[in-house]
Amino acid sequence: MNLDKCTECGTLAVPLAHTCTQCGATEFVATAVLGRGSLYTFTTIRVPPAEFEDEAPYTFAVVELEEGLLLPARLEAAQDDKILEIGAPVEFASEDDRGALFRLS
Amino acid sequence: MRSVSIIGIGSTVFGKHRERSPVDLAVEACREALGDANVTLDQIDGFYLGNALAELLNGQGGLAGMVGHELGLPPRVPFTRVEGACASAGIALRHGYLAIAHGMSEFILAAGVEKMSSAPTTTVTAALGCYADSERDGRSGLTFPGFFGLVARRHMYQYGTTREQLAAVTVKNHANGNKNPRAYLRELVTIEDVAESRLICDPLRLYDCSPISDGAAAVVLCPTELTREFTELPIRILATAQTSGPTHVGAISDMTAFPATIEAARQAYQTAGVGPDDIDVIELHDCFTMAEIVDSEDLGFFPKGEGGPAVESGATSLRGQTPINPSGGLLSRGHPVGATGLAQIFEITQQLRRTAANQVEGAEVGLAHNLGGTGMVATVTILSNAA
Repeated sequence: MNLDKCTECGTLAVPLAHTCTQCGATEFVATAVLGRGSLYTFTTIRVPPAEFEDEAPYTFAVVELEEGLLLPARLEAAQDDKILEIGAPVEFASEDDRGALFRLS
Repeated sequence: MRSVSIIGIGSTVFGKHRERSPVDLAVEACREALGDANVTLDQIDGFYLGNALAELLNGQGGLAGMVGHELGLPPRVPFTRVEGACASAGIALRHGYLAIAHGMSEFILAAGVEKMSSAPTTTVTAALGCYADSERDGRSGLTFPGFFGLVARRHMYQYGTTREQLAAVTVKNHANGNKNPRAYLRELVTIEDVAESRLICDPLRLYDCSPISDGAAAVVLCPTELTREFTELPIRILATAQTSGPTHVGAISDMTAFPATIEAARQAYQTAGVGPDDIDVIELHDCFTMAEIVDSEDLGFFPKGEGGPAVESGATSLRGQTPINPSGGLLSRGHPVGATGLAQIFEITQQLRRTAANQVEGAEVGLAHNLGGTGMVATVTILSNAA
């Protein structure tokens, strides 16, 4: 998956970034990352907005990527006996027009 | 800069007003404030109206123009719509204050209104969801309750905040709202009622969330030096600060605090020359139970992570050391989002006039905190009844 990388200081940002929050520079380049991290927090949304009625209930996660950035993502339902808890290792699964989809590793 | 005071307040009952338009609600609150101030329409030289969602939920744009005209304000008066998500009314108050403080205006009418009950829940959820970054978090289906569900789980993980402590916020605020004739949800609830109510976004349940509500509130402001003609007890605005914060999850480093609140509080305390210990009564932004706990920490009343034990101990109840949300707060009084900031000012003004339904004894200095979006904007206003 791609993140925006500041061309001045290398700080990563969730696309589409306009101004680097660390150094104030305004040029970014799309950079591929593995998409590995752990669950910083998550919740299962049961009262959806109109456009997401087809997916409800769905789990929304904040992934703490290896690179240090917090990334919003939808989370696949837990398979096998994997436990959904803060700190659980997760990985990028796929991406569509609704953003990134992660799964428990 | 001139000192500015509140000389009149007005508010509708908050609740479901399905047959009434946002214009109708705003006109009621404005007329009450004008009457309370003993000020006539032709004395008003500026009108600010806080409102967030009239285009999306009511099909009505230009709401400040609509309300100003229906009130009967003449062409020479500027009408300004103020929008800052759920902080719209706090920002409206601030702009009214600035207009007088800097000598541009003499008598300002500032109001806030929201009419949310006509639309289905999924539509209201989507409208509120517009305040998420639509290209990032919103795109992936993040909702308002969802954001605070994320915050709650993290705060519980990082600080040990418990399900019972969250519920204690609702229990307290409903106990307060029970006595407030303008509050929406006035039924008493127990910890069990809250903890067993319908799951919305775990760990948040129905009673952890402020209800979809309709309502309006308004104030009349003037220079402190002119107040004697209108009221024996003007309430002085010691400070009003407005700040900004991260607008999407990827820009946040710590999801258990709102930098906008922390900075607004710092500025307001500095301008007013007071600290958290000097505040006698507080109306803060409890859009969710978790929000009250986080806000109470961000505003400096308790160390980070101690907000949960504080509410559980009774420290923030009416008779406690740090009374929070004597009106019932957003959870009980209701949260018509564009009106809330001025409903808070309405309550603090009553407290400082000693006319509140849930009177905090001897209140002299009050603080109102209004938060917009997922911490995108915050206002902190400090009021005093000292001469």
